[in-house]
Amino acid sequence: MKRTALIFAFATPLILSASGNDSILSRMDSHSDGLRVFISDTWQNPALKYFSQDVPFSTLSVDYTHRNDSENITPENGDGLHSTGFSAESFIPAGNNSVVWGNAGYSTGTTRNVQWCESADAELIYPYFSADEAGGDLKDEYYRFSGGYAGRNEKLVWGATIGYSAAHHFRDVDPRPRNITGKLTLSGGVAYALSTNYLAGASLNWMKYKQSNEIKFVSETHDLPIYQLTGLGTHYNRFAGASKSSDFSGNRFGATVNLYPLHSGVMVNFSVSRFSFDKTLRDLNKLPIASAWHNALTVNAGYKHISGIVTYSVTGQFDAYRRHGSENIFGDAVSGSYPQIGSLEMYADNYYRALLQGFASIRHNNQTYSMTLRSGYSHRKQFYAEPEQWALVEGFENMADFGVRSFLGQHWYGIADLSFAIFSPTEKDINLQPSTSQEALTGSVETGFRHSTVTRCATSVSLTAARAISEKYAIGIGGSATLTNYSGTAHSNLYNISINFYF
Amino acid sequence: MKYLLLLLLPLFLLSSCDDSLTSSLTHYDVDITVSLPDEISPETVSDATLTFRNISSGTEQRFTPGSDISVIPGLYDVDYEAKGILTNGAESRLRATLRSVNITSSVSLKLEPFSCVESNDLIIAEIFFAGTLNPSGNNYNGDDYIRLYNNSDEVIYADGLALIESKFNTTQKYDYTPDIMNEAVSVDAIYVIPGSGKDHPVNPGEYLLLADTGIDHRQLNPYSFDLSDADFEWYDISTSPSNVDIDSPTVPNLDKWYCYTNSYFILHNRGFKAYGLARIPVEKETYLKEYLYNYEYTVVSDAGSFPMTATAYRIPNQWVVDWVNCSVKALYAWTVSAPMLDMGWTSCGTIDKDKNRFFHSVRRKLLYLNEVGNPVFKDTNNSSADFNTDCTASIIELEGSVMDQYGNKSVTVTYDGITPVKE
Repeated sequence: MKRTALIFAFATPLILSASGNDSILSRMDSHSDGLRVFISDTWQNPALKYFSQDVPFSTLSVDYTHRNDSENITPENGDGLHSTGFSAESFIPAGNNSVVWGNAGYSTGTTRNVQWCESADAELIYPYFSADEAGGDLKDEYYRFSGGYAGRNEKLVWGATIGYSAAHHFRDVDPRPRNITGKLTLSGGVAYALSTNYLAGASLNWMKYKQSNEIKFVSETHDLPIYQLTGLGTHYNRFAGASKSSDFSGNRFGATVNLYPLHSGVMVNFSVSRFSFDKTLRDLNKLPIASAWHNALTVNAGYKHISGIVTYSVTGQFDAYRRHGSENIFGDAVSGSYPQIGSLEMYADNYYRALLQGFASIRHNNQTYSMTLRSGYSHRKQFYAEPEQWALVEGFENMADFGVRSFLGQHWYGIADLSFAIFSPTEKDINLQPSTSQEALTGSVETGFRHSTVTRCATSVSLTAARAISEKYAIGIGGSATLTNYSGTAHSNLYNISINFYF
Repeated sequence: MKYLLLLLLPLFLLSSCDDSLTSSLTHYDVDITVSLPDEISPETVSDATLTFRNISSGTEQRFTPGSDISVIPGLYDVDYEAKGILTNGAESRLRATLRSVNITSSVSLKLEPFSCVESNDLIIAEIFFAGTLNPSGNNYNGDDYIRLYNNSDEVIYADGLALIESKFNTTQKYDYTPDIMNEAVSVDAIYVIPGSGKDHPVNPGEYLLLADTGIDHRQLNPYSFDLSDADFEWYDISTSPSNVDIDSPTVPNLDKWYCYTNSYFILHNRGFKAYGLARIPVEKETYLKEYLYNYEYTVVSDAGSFPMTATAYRIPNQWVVDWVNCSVKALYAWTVSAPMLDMGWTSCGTIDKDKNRFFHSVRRKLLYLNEVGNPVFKDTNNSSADFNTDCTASIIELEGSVMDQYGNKSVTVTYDGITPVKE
């Protein structure tokens, strides 16, 4: 309850001051500009966020999300979820040369049938999960707060953000994991006007990550070994079952460099980051069993054109990451302590993707029609050194999105969006050594691989309707559905519905 | 701008551009020297294999001596096994083992194989240390037992045979000083089968049941079984009034030479100890006077290092006729005997306090039935290879009593927990 109050306390000052001279529906239209979303990489630099929109706009939302998969597509993510939450979001020009923004949110729900992962934030700390063969539903609670400021003084723009998010994941039946995670993020950036159109910017960002993970068994008659996974179906055989408590601690450092045109022109975004973390086993005197680093790079360059009626942008993008994980090795435990005798880099996950994408929108009377096309090629290879194992997937990904935003009379405003995406694998290869791990664990890796290497089609529809209840306020309802088909073998349906208050 | 790009780019590109890691994974050469015992000539050695078991990953690599051996850095158990011909012409199995070898650079290892000589005495066929649960799910003590077996084709007299328990745990290793492991085992309990020498014959293919308490345990726990027909029980006169042992009127007691506890002795029901059989060739008083073992070790904890002293009894390895290291898979640290007694270890359950271990035992593997239909069990002085783990206890099978926490009864009888007895 205290956390809920804090969320409102955080958002209230922004909410109370959020208003502008334009009508709420026109501000909503400006906020929903497709180009703003298309070039969202730019807004990683908090200084450039100053230019992300030029009208104040705030939202209070209550939403419900439901996902139902026909089978466990990625075992660590479960085969479904339901979640209810509320959030507040605001962007406000504060004075002549500054803007502030903030958001806060809380959600609670259940992720269904999570397998071979009792840790949280799987996408951050993989492959070093703690896991057991039972798994099950996990109850989730998420909290997030963030805020930022950007100011301008003639040619110089600066900005900073601070954010904190926390989560609590637990289960009420054996095995009973209790995971508490926390992320503190800070970023700061500057931009300098090179001309009346162009700004050059740079920013730095940092994230501190913590996770504590504890698994308990209450039943007198049933207990399970907890495995410390090490990637591609392997686990730390020596410590299987020996430790039920683990901690993760990590830091991410990142930087961006930007060239941003205020109007039409060439734009470039370049970002790099390095995330590294350690895993320790609390039951064994905080034994540091594994660590990993994850280097990521995104280069995005293109052109945008803005005119009164037609807006378009074309960009090329290259993303890549390299994640390498090391297992520490320990000598004979004497007197209860394990001397570290070395560290072996055993796991690698290397990825790249090249994308060509375009966006166009045209305004006609009270309607704005938009289209986004994206085509790319991606490559991902996971590798485990000894026994040598790997999983490779390459393929084309294509996406087309069509949207329309429309003023419907004086009081109504609507947004409709329809998108199609398809992933077509061109190469896949997996080599696992079942003898080195639990058979079921190997099976879960194969399941995840099978679903990531079939032709995957996703169709998404979203509708939003808003009604102005005054010049400054509107209420609305939104809904979306995404249906993903895995080459006829499995499907995943994701639904979201929200009730919103705009001002 | 371009200078900044150039500055940041190396951050990403510093890492290897290779998708795989094999090129960066160092392998170290291992040079093996095998020093054969005098009674074996090198030309008679055959079928030699070397096994490197990586303790961290659990993976095993097999090599033949003389071949190029290279492994990734780690902590290894190294086992050598071969056949050889003794100078008297008899075939012998040669074994050597090195435990917990740190390989963090190229190393030379010296293996000193010993010739496995059959003791031709009773062997431990089964250890039921875990006990049972009562219907409310609580652990029941007192129905633990050890079953001995005559694996030979001659009558063996059990008189004077000692049941012994290791002093040290297999789940926690300390540097005990002085280290006597190559000469003797350290024990904390010695119970001897009474008799004048030929009072208790055990025929080929016969079992001898040593029970904790030789009563019908079903009177106290309907999920337990009847041990009132056991051959012997270990009975202790307790000095603790709240913890007294039961002296069965139907089962003779073992002769207690020594036990660490002042109350009553039970097998370690989480499986941390080793158990053995020994023929002690001296009188009880002489033994207790002359075979004390005083040792020192250091306990290291968050609070600091604490030097400790303790006392146990030692039994020379030559007196030991069988030895079985028990442990827990998740906690195993070391074997508490010389490799010549037992190169491996066996277990019941996977993790400490594993609820699945109740009603289960470790049972020696059946090799074959001999010409008169008696089972012949595997006895290679390697408990990892010789025993089946997590078996339903044989007495539960024979009595058809409760075999799990849900009250289900056993309907199958096996020789070794796996191979069914055919009618």
